Amino acid sequence: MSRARAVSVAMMVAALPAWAQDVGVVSDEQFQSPRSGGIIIRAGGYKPLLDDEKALNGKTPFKDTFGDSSLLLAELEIQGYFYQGIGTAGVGVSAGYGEKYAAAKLESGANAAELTALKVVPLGLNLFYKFDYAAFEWGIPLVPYGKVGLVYSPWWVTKGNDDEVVDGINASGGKWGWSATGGMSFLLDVLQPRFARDFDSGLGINHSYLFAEYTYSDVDNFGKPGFVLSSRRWMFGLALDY
Amino acid sequence: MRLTFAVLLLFASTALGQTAPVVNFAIPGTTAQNNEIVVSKQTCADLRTVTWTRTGALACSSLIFWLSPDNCTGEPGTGDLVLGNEVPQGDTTTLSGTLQLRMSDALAASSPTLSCSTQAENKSYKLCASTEKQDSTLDCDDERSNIGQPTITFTLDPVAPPAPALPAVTGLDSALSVSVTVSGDASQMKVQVVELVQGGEDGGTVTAGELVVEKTQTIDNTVFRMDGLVNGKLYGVQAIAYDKAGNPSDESPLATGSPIPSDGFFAAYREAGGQETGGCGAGGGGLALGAVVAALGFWMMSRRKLS
Repeated sequence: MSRARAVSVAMMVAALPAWAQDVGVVSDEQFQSPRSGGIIIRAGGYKPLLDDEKALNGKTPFKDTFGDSSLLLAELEIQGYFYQGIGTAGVGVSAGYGEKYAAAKLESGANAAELTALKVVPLGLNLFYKFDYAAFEWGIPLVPYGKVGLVYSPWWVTKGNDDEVVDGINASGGKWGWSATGGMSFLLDVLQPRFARDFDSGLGINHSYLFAEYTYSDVDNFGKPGFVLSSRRWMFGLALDY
Repeated sequence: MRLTFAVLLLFASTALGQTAPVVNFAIPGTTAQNNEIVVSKQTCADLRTVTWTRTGALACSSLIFWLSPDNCTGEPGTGDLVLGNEVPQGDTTTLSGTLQLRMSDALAASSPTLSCSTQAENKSYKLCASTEKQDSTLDCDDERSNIGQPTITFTLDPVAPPAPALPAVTGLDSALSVSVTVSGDASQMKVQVVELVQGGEDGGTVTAGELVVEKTQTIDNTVFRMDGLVNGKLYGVQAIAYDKAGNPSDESPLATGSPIPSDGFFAAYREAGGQETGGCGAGGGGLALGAVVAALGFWMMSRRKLS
């Protein structure tokens, strides 16, 4: 009899965490599908530090042409996880696009009738780590993370309908660099746990997050002369674990 | 009694198995605009081709094709032009064909006084494909009805659109931006950049000279960029409207404009002392990274989920 009671008590104790999960605490154990990677969509202002090039000696052609506002940069990143234990680590690849238009200038300095534009396509390869252990095990829906990686940014400048050509130089190219990113994700599953489970069972999306991140990037062919596409920027977006 | 019923049922099932006849028209090439074939006085006597395909049985009468200035019901009458492509009743093998339309023939059929040269306003005909159909009780209709779709209209447009208004010209670097106003029933606009010729005894009047460059666009885009011009030189600009039949309008009044040099961002950057010279950097390493990124992306997407 006492043995049966002990078993009953043990079963009730074992059931408590499951009950708690149903009312808000998110646990990785309750999801059926495994995680293998992530998809991230983000956007933010990107203002390349073009006017920081030493050879410009303080002149500011970027600011003079495009003003003080940033380009709108949108990026897509795909991640693969190679470690899932106390947090998650993996490798990510990303591609983005940003452009900014302004009026070309006449010799007098007045605005011309046609437009000039700077366009960039930042490509990235990074290693990342995110501390999601606390979210899955303790129900704290905040996931800090960090990334470091290699960046290659194709760029081109247009005037009118075509790439601009100055002194025989076609205004297009690419710049190498590196970047470091730190950010914080908010685990959306805690808002609608049942919906999150349905999302997993139906589409294989294990978790979804909203995040904000800060990126420090130096994209200037590692200090060589020419364009400085480096930036310090905030970006915001949505991340999905699958 | 039971046998009669069974036989009736058998006949009915056979009839039910037949589908109502339908003819689908198609206009090959690019001569059609919204299922309309439009010809001008100059092309009035040219042949235009329409192809057709048929589904369903011709249980009650033959299938005939004709052009009508009014509608496609009933028998072709006075003023209609019957095309010589009749498909006999019960024919099961002729399921497609080609029709040759000639506006001059249609006009002559409408009235002996009508001709390509005398017609001064638009004249339209509908292309008909008609037969007698069966109703729900398997009886044949008393008169023919149109089974052709979509409705194909064959139109003579002898009237040219009016001349466009004076174009608005803006100077660009080695180019001109020309904004035109669509006139009348124009479907296309042409812009011509021409040399200017001083005329008149006082030399004060300028007229259009030799053509430098021209461009034609549909009226969806009324702004023309005319490239390949010399900065600082004064050019003449005129517009011509074309309707669907290809009738050209008179030329618009002559506008003038000069291309003007301007600097884009890269010119401003180079002028400020910037040392960027373009190129992919590190021996086209971007391609290599792009390939790596693509390969990794593919690998991650195709990788099986961890269990």
